[in-house]
Amino acid sequence: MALSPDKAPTIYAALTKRAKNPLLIVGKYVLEFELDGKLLIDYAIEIARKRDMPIVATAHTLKGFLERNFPAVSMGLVDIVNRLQDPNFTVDPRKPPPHDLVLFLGITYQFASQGLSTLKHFAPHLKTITLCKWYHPNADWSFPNVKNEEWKQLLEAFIKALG
Amino acid sequence: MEIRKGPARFSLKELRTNMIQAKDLEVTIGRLAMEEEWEPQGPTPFPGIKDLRAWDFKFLSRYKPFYAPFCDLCCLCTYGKCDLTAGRRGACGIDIKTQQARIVLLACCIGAATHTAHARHLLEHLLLKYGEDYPINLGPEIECEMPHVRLVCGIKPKTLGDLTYILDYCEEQIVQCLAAVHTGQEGNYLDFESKALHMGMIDHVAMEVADVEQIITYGYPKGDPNAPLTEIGCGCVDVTKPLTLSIGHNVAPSIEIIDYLRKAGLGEPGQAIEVAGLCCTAHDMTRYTNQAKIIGPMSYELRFIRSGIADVIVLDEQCIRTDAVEEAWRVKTPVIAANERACYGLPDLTELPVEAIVNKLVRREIKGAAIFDPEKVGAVAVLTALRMQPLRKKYKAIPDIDQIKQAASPCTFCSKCRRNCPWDLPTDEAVNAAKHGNIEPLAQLYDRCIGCGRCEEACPQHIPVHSLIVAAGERKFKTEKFKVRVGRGPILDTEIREVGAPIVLGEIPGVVAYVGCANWPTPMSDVGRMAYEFARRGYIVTSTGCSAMAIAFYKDEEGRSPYEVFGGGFLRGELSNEGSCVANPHISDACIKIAYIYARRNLRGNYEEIADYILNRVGACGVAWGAMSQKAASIATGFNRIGVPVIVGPQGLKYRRLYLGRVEDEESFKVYDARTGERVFVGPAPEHLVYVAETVEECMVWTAKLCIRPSDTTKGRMIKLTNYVDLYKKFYGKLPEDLPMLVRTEADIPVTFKDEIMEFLKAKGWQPHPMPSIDPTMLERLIRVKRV
Repeated sequence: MALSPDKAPTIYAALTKRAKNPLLIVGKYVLEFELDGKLLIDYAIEIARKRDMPIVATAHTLKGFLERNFPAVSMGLVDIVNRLQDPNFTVDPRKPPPHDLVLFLGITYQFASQGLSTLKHFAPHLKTITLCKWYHPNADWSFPNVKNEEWKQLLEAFIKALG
Repeated sequence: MEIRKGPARFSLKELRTNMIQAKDLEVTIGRLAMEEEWEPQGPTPFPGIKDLRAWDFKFLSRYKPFYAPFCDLCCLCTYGKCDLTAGRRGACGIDIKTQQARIVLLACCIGAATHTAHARHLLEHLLLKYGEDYPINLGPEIECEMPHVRLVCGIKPKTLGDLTYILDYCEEQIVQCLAAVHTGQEGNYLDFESKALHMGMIDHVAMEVADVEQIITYGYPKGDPNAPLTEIGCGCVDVTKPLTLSIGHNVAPSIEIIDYLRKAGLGEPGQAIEVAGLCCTAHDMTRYTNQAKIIGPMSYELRFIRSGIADVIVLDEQCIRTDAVEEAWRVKTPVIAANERACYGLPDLTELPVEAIVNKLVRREIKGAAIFDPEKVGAVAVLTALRMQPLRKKYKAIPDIDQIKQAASPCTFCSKCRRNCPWDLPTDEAVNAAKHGNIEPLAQLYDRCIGCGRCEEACPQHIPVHSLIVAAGERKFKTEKFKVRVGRGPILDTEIREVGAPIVLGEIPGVVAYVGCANWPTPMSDVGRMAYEFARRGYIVTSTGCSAMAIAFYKDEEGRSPYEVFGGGFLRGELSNEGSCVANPHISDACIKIAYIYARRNLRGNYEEIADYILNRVGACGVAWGAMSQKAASIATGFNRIGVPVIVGPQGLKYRRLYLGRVEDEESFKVYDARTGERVFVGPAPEHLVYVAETVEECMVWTAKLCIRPSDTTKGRMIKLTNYVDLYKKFYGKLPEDLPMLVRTEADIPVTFKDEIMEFLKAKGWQPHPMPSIDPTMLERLIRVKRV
């Protein structure tokens, strides 16, 4: 469902805070896309640190996290989505499975869409949120289509609302 | 009445003579002629859809189907539409997983049918020209002429006419599998997958027929590692000469164009007339004469038609833009449809005299003509090009550079073009910049655009976005010219003798095949970048189709294409182009020939054993970075059934199904040691059978990893790990986490990373594998010592 921009950050923050074992999955755009000079990877790390949330770095994005001393887990998107179908799987050994909330950021749009479709159909134990600038109908909650400036505001408001 | 060579069959319920008493006697005459006892017959000659089911289920228990539904609905019958979201079943009882497998099977049926129909069409044409007794002779260095046919069908074809029986079999299997897709037929996803794998296998048989029949009759290179180089790119044609442009895959009419030129005294292509092609038919023209030109892959179709350079366009079949006739009409280029499977609504003028057809086309009485006689197509195309060229010099649908700003001016920056771009290219920003006078962002998209035209369809202001990209890249368009090696065809038996052992032992780190279509996520030169890197590392690199073209678009620091840098053999550190899409089986055939020539395994009707051999011992990996079509789906699935993993680009997830292993499920990665019958965990070797990579970097790391096999010697594993670890460290920045499963003994550890890896393994609590060296098989019947 597409949330209206004025409500999305607070709803996202509430969902994330309520989740017992949230997970953030990021794709190649976190190394390529900047909003006012700030790379998406830096937004991802801020979000994860706010909730002590693990990050799965897909594609070759691990290197960016290592450079920032953030202990991300490297796994291809289809590998992590495949495992998330399993309610006994968790990336974070400190928390019991399953992951109950999965956030997506910076993954090639149509690739992410297909991954979200798998989770929609075959992972009833979790909900999905996308933090990208395009609307994702296969996610449980998504931003609507927004321009970069508004996207930046949404991400910043979300980080702020996480506390 | 049509008379075709084929087996005659009759049966007798009861026969009593002085000499013989028999019941239910069946006699077949015709096929017997081919069935000499050249090898003991294996268990599955001419397998039906159930015969390899047990093998499929065995490896699908390791590589479980992973589904990514592209559509939540089923719309195939009048009960529907049925919403199958999240556990709901349709009116017929089908669930979403089974529906996905069903659609995958449908795609594979389409792919296999397309190649089989192609092979059949070409064969009938060639039988008329060359006769059914024309020998199958691939030269003195190829004894095993058609490995897939031997393996699957259990026969050794000798003549062109023999190929008829093989296509009969393919057609029958396609009908059987397509019938399984009907509502209320097959109802289990694994059984749909088994049938999809069956179609993939059939596809490789049909492609092998399609390529061998054209190699032997048209005199293509017969596995020549030194096949000549030829030119590729929009800039490789002389635009001052008349030009015929062939689009598609079925080369018969294009060969007739070249033959007509010769017969008419117009010389070779490029002398009086340029003869060029787009997509695989171009590969096959250059295998006939390297004076023909390759414009580029399918992604170049729209831009080249709109450029107005072609004076006549010949459509044969497959991968043709459905709007080709309309686009050609815009630039006053007449079109000839040369194949009944792609008529494009054009009137059938086959029976008219050549001159009459040419007159109609030149006078623009019709947009084009369907001509179902390749020889006549050759004559009409050449004569039309000669007469059209002076008439239509000034026509093109690409604006001039100084018109770009004006054309972009209606842009409201709504971003619908970008939302509709399959690759999310920043077309919105580029068009908006052009509106304000800066065309550089548009020009930067030239190399990345896949030429689908969806941006234009989406634009509410009707801005010709794709044409603007091409206009901004005009200089590149007009001058780009690269070198590609002409398709060499099959791999020589002598090459297999040289590389068979080092491949199986792992000392050649792998065979990498760049195959498939032009839906590339990154500039197509990235395919060349990958091929270059793996050839440089000593892998055997092979290629076909649009990917073989894309490789040519990469230039090294000295401005050379990879084909100019590396030799064209199936040898360590070389890079070959096998040819068009139907040349793909030469790559799977090379794997089969390793089992046959190096390991002396029988081929005849022995599919299961050979697939088991390849999966466990032949470190080969396919990369279909721009896979788009149903043909690519069936080709990849055929590679999978014979035991070769495939990596696809991000859009490949739209095929809906992958085969993914989960290595933490150790039991699924256990094989038998054929010497003892013991079950042994072999680690992720290979981890997946179909995998999707998001980036070139990820693709390269996985390519190295998917070449790892249980049969690797310690030296071989060390070489493979050297490449895997090196690429992983380069792109990911650290050692791979799965090293403890891949390092079996200290001797496996790459020397260059020895200390670092030992420290890493120690921290992970790694212990040497108790059985690092085994004779791996997944087939219990191949265990030599029976367990008590």
